[in-house]
Parts: sequence; C-alpha cells; structure tokens
Amino acid sequence: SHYEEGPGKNLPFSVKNKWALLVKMSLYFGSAFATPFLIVRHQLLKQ
Amino acid sequence: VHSMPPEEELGTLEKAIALTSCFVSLFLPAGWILSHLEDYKRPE
Repeated sequence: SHYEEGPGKNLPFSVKNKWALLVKMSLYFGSAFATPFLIVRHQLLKQ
Repeated sequence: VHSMPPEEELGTLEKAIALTSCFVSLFLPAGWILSHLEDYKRPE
C-alpha cells in the first residue's frame, strides 16, 4: 500500500496543528449545533 | 494493535482553552438566539 499509516494519517483533515484543529472542530460542531436555532430565528422573523 | 503514550502532553492552560472553546462554540450562538427570541416575534 502506498498510503501513509499511523495516527492522523487516515483522516481527510490535518491534526498536526492543534490550534488549527480546535478552530476547525469548533466551526464544524458549532455550526451543526447552531443550525436549528438559526432556523427557529428565521421562521420567527418570517411571520 | 497497541496504543502509545501521547506525542505531546497538554498543559493546564491548553486544556482550559480547549474546553472553553468547546463550550463557547456550542452555547454562545444558541444562547444569543434564545435570549433574543422575543425580539424576533412580530406584534400581531
């Protein structure tokens, strides 16, 4: 196999820089958690 | 299959920053919207 092996090598994102990873994960999980609240806001403003 | 010790041990400050970021990114947008719910409702 020509793929690299080992921790963090089989992921579609880099885990090399922990602060970059923190930002990426915060945006990924934060946006998912915020979406239903944004939908409620959108629906209320629409009336 | 076996695990290895961490390549780098995290300090208390780094753990505090990471945990705070997790809570802020989850609860700040939701809290902002929930605290302004009344503002989004139009008077009939």
